[in-house]
Amino acid sequence: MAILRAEGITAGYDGPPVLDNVAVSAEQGHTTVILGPNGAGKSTLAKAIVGLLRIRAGHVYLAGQEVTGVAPHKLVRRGLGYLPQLANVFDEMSVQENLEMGGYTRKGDLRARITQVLELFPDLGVDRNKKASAMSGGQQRMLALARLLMTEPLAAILDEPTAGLSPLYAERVWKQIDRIRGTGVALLVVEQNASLAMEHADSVCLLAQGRNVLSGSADELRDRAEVARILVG
Amino acid sequence: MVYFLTDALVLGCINAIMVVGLNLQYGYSGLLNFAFYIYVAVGAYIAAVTTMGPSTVPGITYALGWTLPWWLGLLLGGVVAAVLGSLVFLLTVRRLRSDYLAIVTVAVAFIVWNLIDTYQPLFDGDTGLFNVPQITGSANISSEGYSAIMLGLSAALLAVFVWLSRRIFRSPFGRLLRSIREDEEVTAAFGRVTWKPQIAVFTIGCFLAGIAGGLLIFYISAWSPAAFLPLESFILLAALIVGGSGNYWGALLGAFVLIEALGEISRYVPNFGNPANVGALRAIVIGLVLILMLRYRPEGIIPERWLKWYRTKEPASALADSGTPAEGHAPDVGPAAPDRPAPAAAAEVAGAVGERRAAAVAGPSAGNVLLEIRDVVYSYGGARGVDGCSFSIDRGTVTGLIGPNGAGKSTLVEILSGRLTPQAGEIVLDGRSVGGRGPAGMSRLGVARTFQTARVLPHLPVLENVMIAAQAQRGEGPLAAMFWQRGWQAQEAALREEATELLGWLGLTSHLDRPAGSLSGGQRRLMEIARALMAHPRLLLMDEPTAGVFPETSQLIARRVREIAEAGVTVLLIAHNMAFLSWVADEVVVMAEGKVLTRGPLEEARAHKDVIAAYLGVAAGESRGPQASSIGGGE
Amino acid sequence: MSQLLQAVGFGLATASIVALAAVAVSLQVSVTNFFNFAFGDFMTLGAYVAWSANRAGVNFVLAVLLGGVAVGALGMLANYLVFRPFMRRGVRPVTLLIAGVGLSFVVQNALILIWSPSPRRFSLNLGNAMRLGPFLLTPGDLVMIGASAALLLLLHVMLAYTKFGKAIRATSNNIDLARSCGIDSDRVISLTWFIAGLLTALAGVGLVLQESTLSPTSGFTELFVIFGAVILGGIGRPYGAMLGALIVGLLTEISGAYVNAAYKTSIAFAVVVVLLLFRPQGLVKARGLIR
Repeated sequence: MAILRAEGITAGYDGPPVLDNVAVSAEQGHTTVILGPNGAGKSTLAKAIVGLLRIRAGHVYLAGQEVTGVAPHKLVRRGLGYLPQLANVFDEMSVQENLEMGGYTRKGDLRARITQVLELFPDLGVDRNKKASAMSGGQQRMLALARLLMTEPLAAILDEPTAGLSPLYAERVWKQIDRIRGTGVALLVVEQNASLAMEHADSVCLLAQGRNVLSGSADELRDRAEVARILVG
Repeated sequence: MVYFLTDALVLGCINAIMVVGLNLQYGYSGLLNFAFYIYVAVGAYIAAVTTMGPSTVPGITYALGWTLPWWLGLLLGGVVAAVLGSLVFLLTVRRLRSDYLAIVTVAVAFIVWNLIDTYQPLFDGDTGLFNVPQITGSANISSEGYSAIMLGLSAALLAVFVWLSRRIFRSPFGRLLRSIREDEEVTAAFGRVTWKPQIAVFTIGCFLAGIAGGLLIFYISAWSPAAFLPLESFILLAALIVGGSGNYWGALLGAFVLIEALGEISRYVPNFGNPANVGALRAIVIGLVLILMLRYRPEGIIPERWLKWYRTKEPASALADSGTPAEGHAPDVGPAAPDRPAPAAAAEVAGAVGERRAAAVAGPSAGNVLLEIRDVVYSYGGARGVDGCSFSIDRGTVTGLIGPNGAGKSTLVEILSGRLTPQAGEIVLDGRSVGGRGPAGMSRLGVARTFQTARVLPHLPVLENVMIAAQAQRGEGPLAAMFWQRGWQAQEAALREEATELLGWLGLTSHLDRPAGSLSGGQRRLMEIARALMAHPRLLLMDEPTAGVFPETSQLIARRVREIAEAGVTVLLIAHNMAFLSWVADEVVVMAEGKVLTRGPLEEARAHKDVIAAYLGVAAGESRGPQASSIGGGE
Repeated sequence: MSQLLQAVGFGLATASIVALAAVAVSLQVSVTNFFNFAFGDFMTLGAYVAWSANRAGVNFVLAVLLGGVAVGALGMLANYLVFRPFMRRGVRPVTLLIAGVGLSFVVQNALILIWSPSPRRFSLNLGNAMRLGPFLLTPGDLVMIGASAALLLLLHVMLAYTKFGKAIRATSNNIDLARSCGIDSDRVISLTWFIAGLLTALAGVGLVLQESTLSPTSGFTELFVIFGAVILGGIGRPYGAMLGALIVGLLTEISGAYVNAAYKTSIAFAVVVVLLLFRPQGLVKARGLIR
């Protein structure tokens, strides 16, 4: 059952729509990767689903309930997490505080949850009071992922989580994403680095020029030359 | 009753002169000057102290005793205010952003006011000046008579200033001011130094303030700091905004309605409670009106674009009108445009002008090669934007610049357009090394560009948006604008025609008069192309010219770009749309990680295995190699 | 020398008032990104409400609190009716400034209508000036310094240790990310205006008590001194604003000791002007908020 489902999405900024009748879905404990050449509308799709962009047509469903047009902060409470591409940590706050903000909507003992999450990210736990701005790009990305985990999402959308990272950190990020998947979260991951993404994906959704071009399981699509062709353009 | 009316009109005219002056600064040029009234005060004081005879009252030190004739005192007041204004501008306005400028100008206004109010020797502190001579000298005139004379004088001066204001509005100078107001960076990208026109208009505005001050003091014959509280500048600004900033009718409306009419009405409102209450009520009304105006009609009662100050000619060729461009419909541009050869305007681009430019630059021409990029490096903090990039482009070709995200393509274009200075390496344009010139410098060398998100001047008509790009226009100075119309009128007509033709060639004929903000994304891109061509460039840089554009418009752009190249302009464009590139590019240069990966015909590049690998990204397994360690920045 | 030290003493008292106000401004600016030009009039309103309540027999402390609530409510209302709609539409920064000016007209003149323009006497005589080491301070000054310090400490505790305080910091740091954490940023901003309003009113009362006179323009004249302190400390940094206030307060009083007192405000303004011209980023690095 698809926890997160978007269908018929038409959205854009000013002018003609960037996305035209796009559909994508994510199942529990699965990673669906959204790929496509530049200008395909991948980031736009992510923003539209989480409510940062107005959807002109189409619907979004979370755990069976329609959530089209719900305000971003309410979506989080309903269980939809979001990791933006840029500015994805509170750089003026410490590791501890970033995680606390992530758990803002969660009831119950925050400290226990933080300890749990930090077990998955041992590097971060070393100095909880370190300010995020003093951390390297890779570490900040880890913090952003940890913050996302704190929101205890049912489904989450990650916008280019490995952008700008060295291959070492990119691989680490994917390992964490796999772990998050292991806890049952439905994941939608927008990516530029297609080969790395496809190694970890369960399903692939290929966009080009604002439309669905190809969708299917990662196993099927992994070796098809078509994918390479579409990505180069 | 008539006396009251005359009195109101005199004050109305004087206030109107002030608002017209403020309009030049704020309305035309977007310069915020909360200290405006200080210049009025300066004009008043200077006019007074220079025309007063030597003082017979002990302790009055300000009277200079020059006893100049009134008109000289008036003129001096204006001049001193203007000079002061230039100084203040150089010190502050050039450096500060909007709200800092606001704070500084209010602070300065207060300091000057405080100084005059407190320091007795200057202008007798808060007691103020008295017995300022009337302009009629010692002749015995009744107050009604004097009012009438002052009305005549003020109205005459107001008419002159409005006329000059109008002249400026319709001139290239006015257009330049509007352009700077809307988007300073774009204006600079087309070769203009922006602070010079600004200081000119600021000075003129202060001159008007000084004259108004002089008139005021001659009328009232007395003056004290209570008359020029910093609050007064706010009231003028409110009047301008409510009336309609940016055009002189709005200024007049604001002055007469908001200040005078409201003031007169409040005279007839019966006093309730404390006598200050009526004034307070008036101020509250002004404040509320201001807020409501800003919220619901920010352009004011008379918006700038109601004035049609130009007339658009019917284009020589009959281009079919596209009708209403609607969302989701195919071409939002004229269908007849497609296969016409480039009109005279675009042909001008090559030939004569192109050669003239090449000669003017006077570098050893390198034959066929227009642009050479040698080992250019630019890095942003940790991330390398461009990392040792080298290639060259031949004259009259269209070269596509492609590559995955973060390859450095946009950075390279920023360097070529002058916005960024290369940290290492060389850029050679037509045999001449041109690094570090800044956008204005590069523009003058014949480089024009379009931007990744189309940057238009939203409140100005499309035609004006394009006309601003023409280089070396006459009439862009204030004096030429006001007094030498003959020198630039013919040029204006020619520019209008050229712009109209270019826009027609790009299918935008039905949009000439519309504010550029009303254009759709695709139409804006077309407008940007027209604008870039208006500058008669040798090298046209385009950053993703078809992003967010309907496919049909994409085709039109491709056709036009080819025609531009055939006319002799060299084009370098960043694009991701392969279909578009196949229509338009002679060959492509592929960049990855800040360097050139390969170059050649598009089909070859697409099939090149390194290119494919670059686009697919690096798989984890290949991360051990030395090449891989230079990818990305985070560690 | 003793004159200098005396001035320092006054300076501390002034500084504590300016600090309250500057922190209030900083707090509001940190979440909304613009200077509210009606701020000075908000201060005056707080003082008037406190004065009226006190005159009507309400206990002084309670009267001051009442003033705080009034200004807090005004701030929330102004945000809801004026500033937020403008910010939603994405207007030029200048527009928000001018809207603030319009609001200033309205508030200041409403004060005239309600309370008349004649200056009122508002003082709290707690005793004569005493010698404390090299400084000369009245008990009133001490109370002011103490109250100020206590409030600022309270604010610090709230911002650093409470959930809501952290939500404010998160919203000012990165509003979209805050929303992605489930924080209702509109509510946070609204409540920040309230808290800023409380502090503003208190600063207004303190200001008026120091001069012993209350008039409709009391707060307006201090406006730029306070903006100066905020900019000196780095815009959007409440802690920097405290430092800025100290410097501005001391500078004003010290210079006032040597020069005609009527110029005190001008000197403060001059400091602000020089600051903005030569070091607009403040002494402490600001967060590059305002364009």
